[in-house]
Parts: sequence; C-alpha cells; structure tokens
Amino acid sequence: MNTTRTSRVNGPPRTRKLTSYWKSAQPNLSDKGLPPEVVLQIFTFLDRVDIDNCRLVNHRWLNIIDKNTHLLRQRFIRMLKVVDNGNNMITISASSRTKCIKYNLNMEINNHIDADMIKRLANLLKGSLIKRTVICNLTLTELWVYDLYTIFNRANVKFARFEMIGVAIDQLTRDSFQNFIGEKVAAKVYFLDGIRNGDADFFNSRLLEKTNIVNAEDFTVYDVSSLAGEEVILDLGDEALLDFFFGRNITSKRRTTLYLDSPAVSQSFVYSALVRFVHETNYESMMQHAEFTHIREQIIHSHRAITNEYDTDIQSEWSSKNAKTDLVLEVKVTRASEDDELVHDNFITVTMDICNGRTMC
Amino acid sequence: MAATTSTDMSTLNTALDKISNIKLKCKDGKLVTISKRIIRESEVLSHNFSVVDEVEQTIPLPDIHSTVMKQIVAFYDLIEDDSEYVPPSKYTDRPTKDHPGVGFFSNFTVEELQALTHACGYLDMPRLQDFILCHMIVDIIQDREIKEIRERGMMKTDYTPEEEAEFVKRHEAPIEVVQPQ
Repeated sequence: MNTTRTSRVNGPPRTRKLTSYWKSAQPNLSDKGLPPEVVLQIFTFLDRVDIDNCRLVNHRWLNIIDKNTHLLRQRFIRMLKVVDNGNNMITISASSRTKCIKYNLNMEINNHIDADMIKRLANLLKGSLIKRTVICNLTLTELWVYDLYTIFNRANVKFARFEMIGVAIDQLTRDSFQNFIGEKVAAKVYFLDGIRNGDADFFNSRLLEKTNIVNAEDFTVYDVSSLAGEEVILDLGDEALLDFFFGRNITSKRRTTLYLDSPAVSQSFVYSALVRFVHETNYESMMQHAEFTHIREQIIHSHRAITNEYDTDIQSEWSSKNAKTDLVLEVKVTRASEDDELVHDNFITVTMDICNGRTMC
Repeated sequence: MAATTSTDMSTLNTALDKISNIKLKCKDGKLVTISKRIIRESEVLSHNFSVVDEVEQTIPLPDIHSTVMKQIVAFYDLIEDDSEYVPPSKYTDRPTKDHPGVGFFSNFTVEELQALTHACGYLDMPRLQDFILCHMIVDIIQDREIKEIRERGMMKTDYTPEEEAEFVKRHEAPIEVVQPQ
C-alpha cells in the first residue's frame, strides 16, 4: 500500500488536521433559524433603515436582503442635488424625510469623483427612489457622465423627476449627452432649463427617439444657449416633432406634457399638426398638452377638417377633429402684442391640447 | 387548509348559536373556556364545528397544554378587532407599535413561544401565526442597533472583525449631516 498518499476517497485528507476538517464539515451556524421565505416576509414589514441594519447582522440575512431588494421597501430620497458652487467645489447632497447628507468634493486635483466616493454614494443611494434629482451649474464632462452613471447603475436607483439647470455641455459629445439622458437615466419627468454652451445638434430628432425620452410622461427643454451666449434653435423639424407629439411607434400610455423652447419648425407646422390629427390612430400614446415658444409665424391654409375658432391679433385658435374617436386637437397661437416692450418682437407661442369633443360641447 | 366555504360558514354559525359556553379539554386534563371568536379564527376548530351535527359542550384537545391555550385566550382578549382576519399585503397595513397584540409576546420565553407556534400551527390560526412569527420579530428589529438585534434575536454574527470594519467604514458618517429644513 502506498503510504505517501495524502488523500483518501472517503474521509478527511491526511495532511489536514482532523479538527479543522470536521469544523468545516459542520453546517454553518447562520444557516439555522427561520426559513428564508419567512425571514423575507418579516423584512417586507420593515423600514429601509432597519433593513440596512439587518444586512449587518449576519451573512445569511445580507444574502436574503440583497437578492430580494425589489421586494423590500425602497429608500426614499426627496432630493438629490449635484451643485457646482464655483471655486472648484462641488456639493452632492441627498435628503430624505429625516436627514440630509452632504458631501463637498474638491475638484482642484482631478475633475471627477474618486473611486472611494463612488462606492460611498452608490451605497448611500442603494435601491432608492429619488423623487427629484437636480444637477445645477455643473460643467458636464465625459468623466462626470461616466461617474454619475456608475453611481446610479450600481445603486440601482429609480428617478421620478430629473432636472438639469444651467449645466454646460460643451465638453461632451452629442452622443454621450443624448445617451446619458435618453438611455442611462430613466426618469418619468425631464426638465432641462438654461443649458449652457449647447449646440443645435445636441437637441436633434435623435434625442426624441431615445427610449427614456419616448416613455417619459413630461419632457421640457427651455432656454438653451450657445457658447457665445446666443439662443440655440433646437434642430428638431416638423416631422420628428409631430411624430413625437402624436406618439408614433410609442407604446407608453402615460404621456402628458411637452414644453419646448425655440424648436426649428416651418411655417406650416400647426397646419400639418391639425391635418395629421384627423387620421391619427395611436391616440392612447399622444401627448395631452404641448407648448412651443419662440417659433416662426404660422400660416394656416384652409382645409375642410380645420375649423377656425377665432382670429385676433393677439391670439388665434384652430381645431380639428379625429375621425375615429371623439377627440379634438385645439391649437392656440399667441403673439406678443407690440406694446409689450419686455417681450421679444416675434414671441409666438403655440399651445396644443387634445381634449374630448363630447365634454367640450 | 382551504378557507371555510359559505355553506360551512352557515353550518358553523347555526352550531355556534346553539351553545353558549365552549370548553376545551386539554392535554393535562384541565378545562379551558374559549370564546366563539377563537373557534371562528381557527380553521381546524371551525371545520370540526361545521361538520358535526350535535355539538358537545366539552371538546377534547389532547395535543395542546392548558397553559398554552390560556395564553391564546389572553391574546384574543387583548385584541378588540372582531372582523375577519385579512393578512396585511402592504407595508402600510401592518399593525403599529401601539397595537396591544404586538407587545404581548415580547416577554415570553423561547420555550413558551415554541409551544405557542406549534399550537397555532396545529389549530391553523393565521392571525396568531402572523403576530408570533412576524409582527413580534419586526418589533424586535425595528429601531434598534445591530448589536441589540443580535442579542434579542439570539443570533451570532459570522462577520469577521475586518468585514464589519469595512461595512462601518462604508456607512461612515459623511462630511456633513444636517437636519432638513
């Protein structure tokens, strides 16, 4: 018999001490206790703070919680703010109902969030629902977009309202900007106001085709300015904008409002909208309300489907009725009066509403 | 066990109407008087009542000790809610901390709780089961430190000190914590 053999088929290997072998063969203590289904049921009754504490009790509970995060209470964050305070200081703060946590990041050395901070922020936001996210005054770079996405992705957060206010986007490419808001951050409401250093190309029709924008309930873009500080005309076009408004190829049924400032539309935009509405079939996915400001003077040709409700210097209204449903599209074109010095000369606002024809009568 | 059907319910009601005082003869031979409500809540007892024609005043219950049965009676005396029990499906439906039933079991020993769990499993009483297994444990965990949860839940940690330190570091208080306005 070969005595130099170090292991046998049955029983412990000879080289290891017997005690350590039997110890490892014993069932783990933490395996004892209530069945996982019962423990999970108990966890569903707990607040997020308590669930976080339970993760630290033992590995078994940690596994149960981490595998079933979607079944448990989410952390509710009222507001998440990323604000550039100037002087290379960026504040990231998250406030819940009971506390507000604030991180001040010094951007002097490297203009991005370091790995340790990403870990911490992801941990802080883990599995949470953020009611309102505000990115304010920040100069977005590729690194920042990547870091923010990493945090949101690792933490598996959900957004309700996503706001970008006074954000400079000149250091981003068009694709990374559109991918960031259109694919990586899935919010119900988008509010982009005072975007700086932009370009018409950033807001072209491809943005309106992005999954998250298409499924958003509310989409707003106001006041985009270029590097020279001039107003940027959004490069959207009649066709793309009407497809988006009427929900062509869109299945989401909870679309409510669209606000756009300075879209590049033609003079017959309102006319095509009214004519197109008559034969639209996808009425469940249409936006309920839309407002376009700073657009060109509109020419409405006579058409048998279009009714002119009234026509004055200040405001005109047209409507058209959908053939299949009882829905009516009301379009109001408002012009700023000449006396109003505060308002730009060609300040024309178009408001489109879809309402039920019967209730209107 | 399937829920009692409507025909069973009517038989149960007529059977319960005939008697005023129901006594259970427990394992140790002692008699425990129970309310009609306990019978309604227990699937086993209500099923028995709905199938027998003549109801006896004393029902033998050879598997449960009288002390355990008395505890169940005391628990039901505390709860005023007389409606049919619907297990809470949402977080918000759970009984609050002030609910008398939640704190009732917190001073019980492990052996007593075990006996109670077995008894309510045997009698099939969903309300009691939820209170013992769920709401009481939720009460143990809620608003407590990790060490306290371990002590009260009699659990041992399997985290190494290094792992725990790592966790604490990750949860460490950030640069500034302020009270929301």
